[in-house]
Amino acid sequence: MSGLRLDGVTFTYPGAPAPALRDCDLAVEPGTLTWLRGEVGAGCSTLLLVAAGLAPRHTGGTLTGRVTRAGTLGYVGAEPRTQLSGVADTVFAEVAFAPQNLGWPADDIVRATWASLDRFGLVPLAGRHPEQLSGGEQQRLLLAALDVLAPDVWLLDEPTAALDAEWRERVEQWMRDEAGRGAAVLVADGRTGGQADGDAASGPPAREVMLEAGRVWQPHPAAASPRASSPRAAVPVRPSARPPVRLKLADASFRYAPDRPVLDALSLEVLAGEVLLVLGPNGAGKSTLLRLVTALAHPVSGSVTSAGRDTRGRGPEDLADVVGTAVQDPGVQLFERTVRRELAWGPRVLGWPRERAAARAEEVLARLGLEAAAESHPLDLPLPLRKRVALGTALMVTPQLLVLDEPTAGTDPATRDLVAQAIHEEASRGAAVICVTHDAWLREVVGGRELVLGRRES
Amino acid sequence: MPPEKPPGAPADTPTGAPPPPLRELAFIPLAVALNVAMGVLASQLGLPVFLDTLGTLLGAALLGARVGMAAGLVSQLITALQVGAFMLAFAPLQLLIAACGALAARAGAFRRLPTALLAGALTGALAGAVSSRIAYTLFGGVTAPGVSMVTATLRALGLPLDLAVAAASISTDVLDKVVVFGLVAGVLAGGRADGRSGGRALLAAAGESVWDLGSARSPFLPPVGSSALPPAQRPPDRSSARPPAQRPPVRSSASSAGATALALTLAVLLLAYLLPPPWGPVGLAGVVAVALAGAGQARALGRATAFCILPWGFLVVIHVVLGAADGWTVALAQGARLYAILAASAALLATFDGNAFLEAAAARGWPYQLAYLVVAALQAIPRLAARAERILEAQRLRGLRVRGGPLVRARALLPLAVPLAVGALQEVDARAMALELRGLGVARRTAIAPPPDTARDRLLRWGALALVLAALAWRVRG
Repeated sequence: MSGLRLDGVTFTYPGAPAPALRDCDLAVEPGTLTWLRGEVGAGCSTLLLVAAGLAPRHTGGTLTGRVTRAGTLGYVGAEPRTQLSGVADTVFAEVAFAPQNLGWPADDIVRATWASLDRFGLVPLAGRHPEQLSGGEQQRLLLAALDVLAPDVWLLDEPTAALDAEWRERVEQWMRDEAGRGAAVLVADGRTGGQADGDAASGPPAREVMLEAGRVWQPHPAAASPRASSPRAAVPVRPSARPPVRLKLADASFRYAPDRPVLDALSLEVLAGEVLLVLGPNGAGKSTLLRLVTALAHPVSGSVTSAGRDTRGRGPEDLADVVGTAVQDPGVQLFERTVRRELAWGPRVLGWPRERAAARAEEVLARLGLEAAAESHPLDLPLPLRKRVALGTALMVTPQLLVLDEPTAGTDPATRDLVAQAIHEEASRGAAVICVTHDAWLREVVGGRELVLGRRES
Repeated sequence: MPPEKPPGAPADTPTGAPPPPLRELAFIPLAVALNVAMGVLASQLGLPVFLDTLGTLLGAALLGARVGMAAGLVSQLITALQVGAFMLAFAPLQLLIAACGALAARAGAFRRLPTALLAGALTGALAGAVSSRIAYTLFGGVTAPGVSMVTATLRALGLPLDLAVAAASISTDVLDKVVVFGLVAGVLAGGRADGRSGGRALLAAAGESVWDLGSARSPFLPPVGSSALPPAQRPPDRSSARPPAQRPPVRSSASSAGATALALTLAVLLLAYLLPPPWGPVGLAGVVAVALAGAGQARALGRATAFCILPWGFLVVIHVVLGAADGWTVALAQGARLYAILAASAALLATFDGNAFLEAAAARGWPYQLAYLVVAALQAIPRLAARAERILEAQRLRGLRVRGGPLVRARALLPLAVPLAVGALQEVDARAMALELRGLGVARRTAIAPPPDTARDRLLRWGALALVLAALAWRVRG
């Protein structure tokens, strides 16, 4: 037998009240590609961990049923950053890490490493430090680091989540090529569409398997799954009188070093009820703009006025009662024992009475579909739900200015809908929203004003 | 290809050689980086504590005394690389703290805050007594700046020097360990939340073992082995799209992977205490300065000088101003030792190249796990320090005040330390899986670009050894 086979697999995490997988049967034959679909929390990641033999050995928990897998294994989890070797100081060394460990002959390692780097467009980055790559580059690096082993079984958890459209296409093609080479490929992917397009028909056999609340079911090929989210026109209603200015930059400049200007005499206003989307390539100053707006940094010349307060002489904590900020990586702020306590913590720090903070937390939980997760540890949640919690912390104070940094990156359709809805509601309520995003869908749905920052030549 | 057993069965035990302890290998570098990052955080908050044993203690509490001790030793090794080789003398202290932490966890002291604080106070008293002894013997009373200040004050009040050092050291250490033990209890409390899932297996396991110590046998997860990845001894044959470049990118690095620099630094460390004071150490400092200047390491010299100014001042105050008539010889000898060791260590750090070190380890068959620990810890330190910075910003964005009175700053510690520690622990599982999937420890590692070892390097190393032996022989005879 070859490929991958799950027979009657049920898996429960340690201390969890209910199984994460229930009685799952699944077979992935060599030379085929299987898409595993499911909402957040449906158990896709768990199924891959169990299939890889990593759960329960690494995670603890109990497993019943039978997992059979033949040949070498390539598993790439959902968050590439934590799967780096931790010692390689170049992209090349990261990819060579596994073959070196396996004791391959040196010449073979060098050849195979260059080939895999080439497959993922990493040859120009071969000398860079893995930790200094962008999220998408790290994702490609991790794929290359296992591709170098040419595994017989691929288990990929959201391998395209951090990629742009071009690379999503290329990685999907690579997955088909791998199946064509004879590998058994199982891909968990929350989005739909993409691979269903024309050329898939000419590739190796591909099929979809749905996972719902830990159970596998296979849709009939004819029944097309409806797209979970539909773009919605959201034109903020503009009252006739000019609404108040919520954010004002007047000739604001910022530089990290005298010869490295990042923002040069930028002036802009965002009014109550307005949404400003900030776009541009990496290094264009998007993050810097958000740092200026939230008073984490201060302009070297010009001024920034957020929610009516000049940021000069103020720090972020002096704006926190009127400016709500959702950081890109929720892991850096979540620390409380439950989601409910996490949401209430910010207002409590700001001096709200306990009851008021608790009542507001319930409202925010309901708005973001987090009721079921309210008593979970925030860091136990999958990334999309953690992003919702981070958004929730920003909404707690009913901010006059809402600052969002890539709110939909790495999320699922349901969360993306909720984010778009929250932006829409906050703007309608009279807040100004400034949002850095790469997400074309969000741009289309929110349809706010756009500020495109360009990369500087220097 | 060896046949695959069905994985996932609870009794899944790897065959053949014992599996490398991947979870420990993944954990220790992060614990080390956590130690360093917490030290940075404490000084950023301006708190009069070090907090730089949080990782060591979490290791001891979660994975046992041995892991805590290993984390402590690697921390000390890296501190020695960064601050000066004499810091190695404090290694016993790390072992002591790890042992205390493991004992406290075993006794269930982290279950409640008061018992955690009490255990911290006891550990702090013990650690302070030991560290003051080491500091007194080695440096004549100079320790961390804050502690030195207390020492000088007590000395001015008329206390004998050794007592003054002990009192200053113990009071600081008690406060420090009380806070750190409290933080450990706070981090472990996170492990108790219901609905534990994948990423926090380590904490989940701790949640059971630390809280339910009724079961004497550790209910930790089964050992993580290397059964997921059958060792592929030959690369798969797969034609690539185009023949790419032929050579791996190699950085210009010190020729012998720092082995020579390491040997010379250790020789300086030993000679500083073997040569007769005060002129032996002074001469050594002169030789080190000339040699480093000649080798183009002027920056290392500058670093060492900057580091030395404050301790020199304290030496003068303690030994010359407040000390006996011949105090100046003690001060001179200690000052010269400090300078020689710091300068050599700074040069070592400046030339240390992690990748070259790994390659050398692979090429010469040094224990790869040890090399992995050191290099991974060196890489994790800037990562966690940057993360600490982002956590600080994110919590300030939610209104947390980190400036103001001592109480305000002390209260800021928990929302900053917990995401830092839990984030580091969370990485452990993913990293352990990644190391397993990528075959760490499966076979003898291939070196693809081992650094050359020149005749000059070998000569320098043997020469250093001969010098140390000669000094030792002279010392023993005379």
